[in-house]
Amino acid sequence: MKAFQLATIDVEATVVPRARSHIFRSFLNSPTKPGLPLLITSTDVRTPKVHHILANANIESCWWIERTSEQFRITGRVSLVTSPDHQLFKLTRDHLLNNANVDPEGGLAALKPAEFDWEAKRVEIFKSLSAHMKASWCRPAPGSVLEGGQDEAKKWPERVEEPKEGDGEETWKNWETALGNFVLVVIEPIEVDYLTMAVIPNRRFKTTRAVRGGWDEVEVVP
Amino acid sequence: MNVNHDKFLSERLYNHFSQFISHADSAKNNLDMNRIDSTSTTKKTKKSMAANSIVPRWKQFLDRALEKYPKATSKRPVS
Repeated sequence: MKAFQLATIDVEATVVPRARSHIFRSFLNSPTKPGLPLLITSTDVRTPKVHHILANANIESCWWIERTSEQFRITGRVSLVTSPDHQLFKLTRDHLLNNANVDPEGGLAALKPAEFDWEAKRVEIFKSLSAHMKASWCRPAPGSVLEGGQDEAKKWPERVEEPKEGDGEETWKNWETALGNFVLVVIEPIEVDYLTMAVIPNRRFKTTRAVRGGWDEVEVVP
Repeated sequence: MNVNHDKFLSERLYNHFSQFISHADSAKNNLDMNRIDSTSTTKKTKKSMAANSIVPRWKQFLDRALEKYPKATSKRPVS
């Protein structure tokens, strides 16, 4: 499982960083600027991080890859792709387009985000998940109190398969619920701090987006 | 007396500001020198990669590292 930690800024009560584990889904590249890849992960529209991101798009993700003894800290701006039927859709779309305007030389802007078929991408990634994973978007809101305890949890669907003609109402309902809660999280990297501990002495490189486009890389003390 | 006192104060102030300006000029010169040094050092160590031509090294490293990840499981971390 390609997991990394994603930190957002919680500005609701006081400014507090919040970090949690995420699963990396894929890269998304503009054909015109393959050197500016976007990172795709996903979340549930009902999680607090959605509101964190809409209030402040700045994030940092941290990857530690045990097998290669490498760390990647990727700082960037994040956008969300929600279901077109969700009440947050207009807000998240405006937020995404604004992120592209803020960084007109970036990978998101290069995708021509107003024309890009984000819903097709969202559905494509959702369909690529396992049936067990899809079912996790059918549960009550993540972080809410578990009313009814474990007995209630046993009633949640364990698998959500793509419905076929002739399938029952429950199958269709679970699919629509899960897909409705599924959100793409699109990260535009701005700075990457790479550390390798596989060599002695360790080596560390800071790569930042260059003003004229592309990247500038400099080796720093690990 | 008052005139002399004023003159004395004026001279002190003038000297003070002269020194301040001198220090400021010196600091600015040092800063400029540092900038030149920094630029020349940067030129030696910084590598630039164009957005439309090559995949940045960090992505090459990440691609390589991701290949080493353990196989996916059906369990999902909290997110």
